[in-house]
Amino acid sequence: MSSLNLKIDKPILIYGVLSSILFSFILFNNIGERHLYVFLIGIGLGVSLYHASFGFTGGWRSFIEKRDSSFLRSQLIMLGLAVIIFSVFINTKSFIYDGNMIGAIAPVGMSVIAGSFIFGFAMQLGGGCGSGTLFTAGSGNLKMVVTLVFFILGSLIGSYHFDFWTKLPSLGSISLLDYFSKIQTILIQLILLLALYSLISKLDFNKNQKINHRDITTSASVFNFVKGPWPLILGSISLVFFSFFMMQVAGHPWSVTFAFGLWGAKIANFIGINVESWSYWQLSYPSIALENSVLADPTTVSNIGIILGALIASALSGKISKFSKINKKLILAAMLGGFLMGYGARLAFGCNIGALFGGIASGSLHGWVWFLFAFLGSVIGVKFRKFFY
Amino acid sequence: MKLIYFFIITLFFGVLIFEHNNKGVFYNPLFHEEGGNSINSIAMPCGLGGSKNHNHK
Repeated sequence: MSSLNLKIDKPILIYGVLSSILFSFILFNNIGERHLYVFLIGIGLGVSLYHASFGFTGGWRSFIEKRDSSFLRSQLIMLGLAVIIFSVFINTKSFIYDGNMIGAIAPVGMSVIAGSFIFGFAMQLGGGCGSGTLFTAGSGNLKMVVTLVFFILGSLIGSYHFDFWTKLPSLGSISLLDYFSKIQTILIQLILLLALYSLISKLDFNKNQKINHRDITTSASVFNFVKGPWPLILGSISLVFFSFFMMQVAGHPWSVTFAFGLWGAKIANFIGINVESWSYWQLSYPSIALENSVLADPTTVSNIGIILGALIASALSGKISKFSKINKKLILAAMLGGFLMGYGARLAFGCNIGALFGGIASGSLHGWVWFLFAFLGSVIGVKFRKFFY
Repeated sequence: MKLIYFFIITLFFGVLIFEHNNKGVFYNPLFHEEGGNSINSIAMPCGLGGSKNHNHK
């Protein structure tokens, strides 16, 4: 049924708006205005993800199973836009604060290969990637709340093993911006993305005998900006738009999964596990984040924004009230998928947002390696998923 | 199911605020400085100031 025919769920909308006001008040008064901006950007990301149904998991599965390339094409367009904008602004002064913005650059090694493969496999079981888990959990999907809980647990265990994985062979951090000019970096990456776009379009055409490149510019039903659904291309553009402001405010690209490990570590600490003795939680920022208020962590703040943004968007669409019972097999898939995603994300220096999107947009080779091995993992995951779904 | 969902999400928000009140903010991570060493280069692996040339006071 089209969202236009569904009534706005006012009680849930009021809950979402009041919760957003409460967090805005706390962040602005107790921490700082930049945390408030991060939160508001998170809400924008949550609304965009929900209204455009912008998930990597389903899109990759559609392509693997049916060679339907529409989601993948919109993701490649998003990456192309991000590459152009991020490459220009990385290592330049922010408009918002007096300091340089940095990219998401991480080492290319066994940990990224193993972690991204595990993540790609697991996201097909869990039913969502890093951002996908957040926005679906925020929009009333109880199964995804289970995925999120086990995502947190997996991230915690991943942080315990982090030292082992990062000592495995690695080429170190490789940023194209260190070897090429900004223009060259943009051109190299755009050519790669264009080649991928052509390849998946050809595979789609060969299988389905037709391809309509304008399918990403039209929404599934009558377009409505407030109630959704949005066309995929609007999702791509708005995610790049909000990510750009995230970088301007936070000083680094949008990321998701660091917060999951942090939440897990704080819970573990609370129940008496000595997380501080783990080498990961002795690193510079993680040790600070563990001691600090959880709301001081910008990734946590943007994640709360995404959850509330998705909640507000789903109340506007009138679809939030469609709560359904979930069966044991799906719960098992959510537990297994969530746990492995959390573990994989920790080894791979992030998820589809922090590593793939942020990495490629920043010109880091680890983003491309993450893309390749997560996709291969998804190919296996799609086959394995049939035992549960 | 709807009640369970909203109980969980409200509990989650409540715990975040409770933890914030207990811990307080002794350091604002959005004030950072450039120039880190190899340890700091993997200090924030998930993009969060992620990676290189990044240090915390």
